[in-house]
Amino acid sequence: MKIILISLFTFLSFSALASDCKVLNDKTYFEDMEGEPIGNPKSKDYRIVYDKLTSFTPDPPIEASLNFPTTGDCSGLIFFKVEIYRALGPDKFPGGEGHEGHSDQSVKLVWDKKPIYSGKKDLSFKKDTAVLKSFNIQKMMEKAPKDTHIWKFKFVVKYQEASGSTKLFERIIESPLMH
Amino acid sequence: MAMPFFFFACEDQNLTADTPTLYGQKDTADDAYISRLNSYNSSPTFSSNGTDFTSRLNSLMGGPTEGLTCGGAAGEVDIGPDVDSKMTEEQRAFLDSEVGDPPRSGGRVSTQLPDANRGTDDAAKYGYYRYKDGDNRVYGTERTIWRLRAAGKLLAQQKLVMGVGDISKSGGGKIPPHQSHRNGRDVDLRLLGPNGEATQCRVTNSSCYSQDNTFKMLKALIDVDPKKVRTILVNDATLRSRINAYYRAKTGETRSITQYCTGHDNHIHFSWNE
Repeated sequence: MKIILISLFTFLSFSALASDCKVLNDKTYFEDMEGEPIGNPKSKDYRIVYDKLTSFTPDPPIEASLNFPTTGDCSGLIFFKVEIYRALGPDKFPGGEGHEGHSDQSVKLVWDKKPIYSGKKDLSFKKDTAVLKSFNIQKMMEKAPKDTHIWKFKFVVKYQEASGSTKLFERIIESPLMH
Repeated sequence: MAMPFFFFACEDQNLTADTPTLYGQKDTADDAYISRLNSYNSSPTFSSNGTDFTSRLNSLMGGPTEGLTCGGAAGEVDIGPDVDSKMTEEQRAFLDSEVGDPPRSGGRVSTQLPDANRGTDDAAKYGYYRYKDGDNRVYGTERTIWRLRAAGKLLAQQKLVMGVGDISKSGGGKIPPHQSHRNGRDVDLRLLGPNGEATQCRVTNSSCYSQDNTFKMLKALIDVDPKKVRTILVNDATLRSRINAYYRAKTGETRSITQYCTGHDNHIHFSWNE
C-alpha cells in the first residue's frame, strides 16, 4: 500500500511539472555553431568551444543558433515561425575619422519592412534548452545592399508552449561596423 | 615602467655557421636581408657573420626574454611527435620554410595563412593559431602573411601564441562587418593571456588578459616590419603608451601608431600601410 501511494505521489508530481513548461525568454542567447577547436584532435583533451554571442561583431559567426532555456517538460513546445529583420545603415563610421564615435548610437538606421528570412527552423533540445538552428549570419551580412551595413538584426519568433498559449518573442542583436 | 627587457640583447653571442636554428635547420643569412633589417633600426644590430634566423630575430626583438638563453639551440621548441591540426603537409612545409627576406609590399590578396588549431603543437611551433572564421577570411598580401609568420616565429621562441582572426577574403574586397580588411593589410588579433596564449578576453579582465604578453606580441609585429606599421587599435591606454614609446624609440618617428576605438576592448586591429 505504501509503495502504491509513493508511486502515485511521484507520478502526480511529475505530471504537474510536465505541464509547467516555461520558456525563459529573458535568458535567450545566440551561440556560434562552428565552434573553436582546442587541442590536438587525437588527444583526449581535444574539445570544441561554442561561444555564446553577445554581438555579431567583430567576428561574425558563419552559422549561429538561437537558444531558448526552458523549465519543465517542453517536449510539446512548437516553434511556428522565425522572421529576421535588418537595421540598415551606412557602411562608414559616424563622426568621420575619429575613432571615439564608432558606435551605432548616432547612426540613422532603417529597419526592413519585410523580413529577409521567414520560415520554420529545425528545433532540437539540448538539456533544458530548445535550440533553433541554423542561421547563416555571415552570408546575411554579405548580402547587405551596396554601401550599407547591417547594424542590427531582429529575430521574431512565434511559438506555442505546451499549455497551448501562443507567444511572440523578439530579440535584437547588434552587429556594429568595425575596422 | 617595465621596459628593461627591450634591451636584453644577445649582441655578444658569437654563433657559428653550425649553430642550430630554432627548428634544427640551417638558415642562410644573407647580407641584403641583414642590411634591410638594420635599416629598420636606428642602430645596427645584425651581422651576417654566421648569424642564423633565430639569432637575427632574437636581436630584432632585443633578445630572448626571461627563461631563454641567447644560444640558437636554447630557443628550440619541442614540437613532439604528434603534431596535428587542419594544416596540409604543403601548408606545413610552407611554414617550416625559411621566412627569408620580406616580399615586396602590395600585390594581390592571394596568400592564405595556414590554420593551426589552438592548443596544439603546431600553434606552439609556429607562434599563432587561427580562430573561428574558417578558411575564407585569412588571406593577405604575401608580405602580410610573411609578417605574421615572422612574428609567430619570434613569439614561439618566447612560448607565446597569438590568435589571428579576420584578415581579408581571397582577392580582397568588403568583408562585413569590417570597413577595412579589404586589401590584405589588416588583421584582427586576440589579446594574450597570462599563460602566453591568445584568448577571448577583455582588457578589463586581468584573469585572462596579460598586458605584458600582449605587448610582446605587438612588439614582435612591429619588429618584423616597423616602417610599414600604419595603426594599432586597442582599448588599453597603458598598453597604447608602451607601444607608442617603443615604436618611437625604434624608428625615430614621432607619431602615435596606437588609437582608442570603440569595440576594441576584446581584440586588436593591426594594420600596415602597404
